[in-house]
Amino acid sequence: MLFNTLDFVIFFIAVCTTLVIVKNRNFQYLFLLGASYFFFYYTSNYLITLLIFTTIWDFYLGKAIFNAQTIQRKKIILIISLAGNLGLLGFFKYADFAITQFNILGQHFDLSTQIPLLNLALPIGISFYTFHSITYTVSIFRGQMPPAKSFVEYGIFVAFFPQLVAGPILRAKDFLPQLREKIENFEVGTRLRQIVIHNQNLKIGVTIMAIGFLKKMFFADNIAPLVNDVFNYPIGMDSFTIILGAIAFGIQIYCDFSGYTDIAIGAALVLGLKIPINFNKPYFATSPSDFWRRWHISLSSWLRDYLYIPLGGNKKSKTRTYLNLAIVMFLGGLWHGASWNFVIWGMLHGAYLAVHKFILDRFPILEGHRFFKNKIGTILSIFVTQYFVFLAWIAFRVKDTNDMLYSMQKYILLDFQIKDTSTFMLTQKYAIALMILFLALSYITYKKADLLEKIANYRLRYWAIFLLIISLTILFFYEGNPENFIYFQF
Amino acid sequence: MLNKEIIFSILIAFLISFSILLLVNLLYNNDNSNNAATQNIIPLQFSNNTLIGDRQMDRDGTLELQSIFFSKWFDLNEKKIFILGSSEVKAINTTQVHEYLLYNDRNYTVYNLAIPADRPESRWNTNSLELIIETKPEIILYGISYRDFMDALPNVQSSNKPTNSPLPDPSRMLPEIYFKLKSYTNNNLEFLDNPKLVTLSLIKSEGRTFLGVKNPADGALAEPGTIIPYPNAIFKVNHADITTLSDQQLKNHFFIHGVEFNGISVPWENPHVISFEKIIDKLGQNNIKVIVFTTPKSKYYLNSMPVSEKEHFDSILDDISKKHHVKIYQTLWDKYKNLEVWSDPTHVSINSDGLIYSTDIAKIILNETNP
Repeated sequence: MLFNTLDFVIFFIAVCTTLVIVKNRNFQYLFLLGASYFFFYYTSNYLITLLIFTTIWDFYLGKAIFNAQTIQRKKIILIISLAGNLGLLGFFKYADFAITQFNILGQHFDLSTQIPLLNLALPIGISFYTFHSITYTVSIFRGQMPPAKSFVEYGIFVAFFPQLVAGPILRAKDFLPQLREKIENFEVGTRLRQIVIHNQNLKIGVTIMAIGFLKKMFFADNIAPLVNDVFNYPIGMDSFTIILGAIAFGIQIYCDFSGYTDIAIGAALVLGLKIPINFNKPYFATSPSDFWRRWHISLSSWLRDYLYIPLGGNKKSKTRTYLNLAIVMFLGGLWHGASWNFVIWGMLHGAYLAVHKFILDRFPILEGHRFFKNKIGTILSIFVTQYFVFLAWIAFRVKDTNDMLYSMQKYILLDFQIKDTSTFMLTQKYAIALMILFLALSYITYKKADLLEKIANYRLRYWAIFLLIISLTILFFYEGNPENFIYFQF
Repeated sequence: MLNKEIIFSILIAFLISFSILLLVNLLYNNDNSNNAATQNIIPLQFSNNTLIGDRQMDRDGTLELQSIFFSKWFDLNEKKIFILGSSEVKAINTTQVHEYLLYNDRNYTVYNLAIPADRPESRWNTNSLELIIETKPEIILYGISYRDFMDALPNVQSSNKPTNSPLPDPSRMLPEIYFKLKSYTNNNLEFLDNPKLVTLSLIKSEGRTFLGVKNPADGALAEPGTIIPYPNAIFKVNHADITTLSDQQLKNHFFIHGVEFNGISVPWENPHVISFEKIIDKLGQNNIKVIVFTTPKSKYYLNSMPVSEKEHFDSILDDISKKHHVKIYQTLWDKYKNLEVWSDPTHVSINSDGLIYSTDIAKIILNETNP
């Protein structure tokens, strides 16, 4: 079910109404799980069996890890759990990719046999819910939390509808205790917490959701035609058109993904549950590592805690640190999809992080230098960082290697041709106006970090006017055909 | 305790905004119908809405444009030629055809009504044929190719949604209710299909030209990303369509994207062949002359086409020609295969490189008409 459809609005109102009317805690949680499964079934039909399988698999293996007497035994069970999760993910998401690569290799070695592709339907959100599950069993293994007290609670953690298909990636140790009544010194109370919709949560939640809808339906969907026109077939385009396309795609994917996250966070908050933020003004990042502290935060922190640190992080040699960064970002790219362009995107970011770390190791004076603290230094850092970030977005967006190489070459080696660019811009005035508006609003929110909170605390009549403006903007610029969220494919 | 005022505020905000949208649409529609003493825009209804991504967007956008086109007032005495077909006929430049014919003492106004991803069955299932007949063109030029009769088009299913599930699909419920509601209200809720279209048209009509949108009353609505290549082209064109690829680029395009030959089922079981025959019959019954031609293909397409498929396609065309007494021109099929006129292996580019296509079409018309 897409958030940007009437279907979701009706679904969400129905869920909230039922939870307000029925106070029985057990029923509330059972209903929430049923609603989440319905949400998934709505778009994925029988593929829901995979989600249920993952949930059952890790619920029981989590208990088994907790009850195991020796570390050795715990480890074996954890490996079984990981094998199940990653096996499922690998089979459904990467099998055809692997077969294709194998067939291409086979052609090189003149092997006459071709393995036929499986052509499996890619289950929506599989990358997200398998990662959720992994955090659960790993956290139990590390002794950071006990297993969930009931299957329903664990089922809600894995399938909680706001974040089910595109995150943010939840940590079991942060989410599960919220379902219980008392949290003291990491010990949770025995009773399930009653789901109550509080006034303040409702106001803040709806405000965040409104912003999310605006980002997705007004900005992302209306900038998309420009991006499509540039990158569906970029060969022959001028440098400035490519740069414009790269910037437009950067804005589109940010508004698309952070819009989704906002709706998820807002919807969860209405129900009294907190899910972590996923974005923190990423286009104001002053370095590659700063960018990854601001972009898809739940994924980058997941990769850090479950991959980078286990690989040794920065505790081993410098060369090993650079290598670890490259490996982590390579896998991060692959996580996005079974395609070389995602791998290249990840590797580019790996290279950025490694080179940035190398420069800081080599010239430690640069870190904390007062030039980079002042305005000009900060602006320069932002521009340089974003130049590379937007270069990498080309790899993310363009599916074809030739298109990618051409676009990147044009992005780096400017041809200073403006005739076609100006013609192109004339056909895209509307999208360009939206891009400018987005940049202006981003700057305002960058300067006024607590703007959202202020809006939510407006007096009711002003808050209603805010909602009116947002819904008017969305309604009047709605294209009719709801566009999929970009991150649904992952 | 939940504050009812908050819920009330949310509801009020939404209701007011929806009412404003409704009101603006009503006023704008009234204004339009008064100004353009013409007609209501008759939406083109279409089925088989299974395409995805850009193809669906192109198709939807074109159907909108053509809905607007058919709502215009037509001089029924004007001698008109309509060009029908899929995106493979988009490169036929109406101005070029018109001028060539005029030079040879034929005065026809030529309209290109290509619809991206169109096939005879979907054309038959729209109401566009009725609208075409009402405008009384003298000649219909129908571009046809192998893909028009092929059993399944590539990439028509979403990879995320499993198909042929035995389980019920609740996601169909709301669209069905919406369609029923629309027909119950005599399509007065049609604007909800694309409120943005109304908004942008309104902005334009209020003089906000900086947003780069033409008035739909002009008959050619340019949405963002749209290039109108020549007058009387009633479809959308993007940058790729107007770019001619070098031979190497075309080769790369072919190897990367490929083409599919999924087979053509026997004519009596093939819904596209059956629909195509129905179209020819219906146009003939309304005294509209139909000329069929096969759309041109590049060498990469032709070289990869199995001989048996080509023979099967030819035999179907032969049968149609004999059965319905329609002349089918196959001269263009491989005429440009070695020329540098392609925007991809099956589409002639919509620019000066591709003008040869328009000239040849004009010659076909010339051959079929008297001064």
